[in-house]
Amino acid sequence: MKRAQQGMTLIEASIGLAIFGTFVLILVSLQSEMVRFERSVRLNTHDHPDLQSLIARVRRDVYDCVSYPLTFDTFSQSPVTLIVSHVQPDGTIETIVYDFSNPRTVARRLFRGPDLAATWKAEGMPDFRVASYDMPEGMVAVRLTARNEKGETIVDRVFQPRVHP
Amino acid sequence: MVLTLINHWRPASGFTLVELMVAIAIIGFVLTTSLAVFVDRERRLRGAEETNRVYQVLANEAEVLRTIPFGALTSLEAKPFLSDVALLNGLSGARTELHIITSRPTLARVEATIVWRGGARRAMVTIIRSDTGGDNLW
Repeated sequence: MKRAQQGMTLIEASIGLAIFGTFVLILVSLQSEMVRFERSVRLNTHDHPDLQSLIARVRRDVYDCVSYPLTFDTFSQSPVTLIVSHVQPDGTIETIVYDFSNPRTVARRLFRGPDLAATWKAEGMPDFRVASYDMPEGMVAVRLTARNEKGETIVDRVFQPRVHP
Repeated sequence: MVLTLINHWRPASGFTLVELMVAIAIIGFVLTTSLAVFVDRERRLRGAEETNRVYQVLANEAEVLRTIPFGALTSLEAKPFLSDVALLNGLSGARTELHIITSRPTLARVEATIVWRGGARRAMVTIIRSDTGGDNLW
């Protein structure tokens, strides 16, 4: 008699567990719904944390460029390679090569003259492509696009170089 | 004395109706709050994704508008965007519009607007163009 007053019966414990289980089930279903929704979103910045950083670099490099060399070193302009040239205030020429050929990795190589001066790499990238984009007045801009794993376009940017004196 | 009274009123085992209702109310409150947070998170994520796409299109349009000769700007009034707006595909009821407001003969405010979700959402970029009398600045 004394023992029954201190503890719970099997039925009470079962009901308690059932209520707790229902609570956990609802939370798990909410979590799975959230994950499903995140996958349905085109651009998930959690999956591609360096995306904005890469776009900012390409924009700056294209704005400052004075020409698009057809080839440089072992690289050639292609849908997965962008080559731009800058002229520094001291007259030296810098060439920047963006390599989008490796899946999920983008490399930016900076050459001063013929020498490789710096390399920047971004991991976890979507599938990038580069193309030319015809602007008014006969100008040619750079069009940078990227697709996610489902083939949906998540980046579509056009950059027109500044006019340099 | 009080303890004796409570023990007298309360059954030796089991929960009272009030205890059960309080427990259910607490669980209900927690569940409702969790659900509201999840729904709000989805709404914000969807909105952020749409905004990201819309602003890419606006940035591209601004890039094109910079290259238009000053004298040709007024012909763009109430026209759709000049740049490719394929990124807007999938946005319900998305439409684009340009407005050219000329306050002075040598100054024009160019407004590029995207409206979607039946007008519930709107994004705009404004650039000021001036007639430099020669080449474009960009």
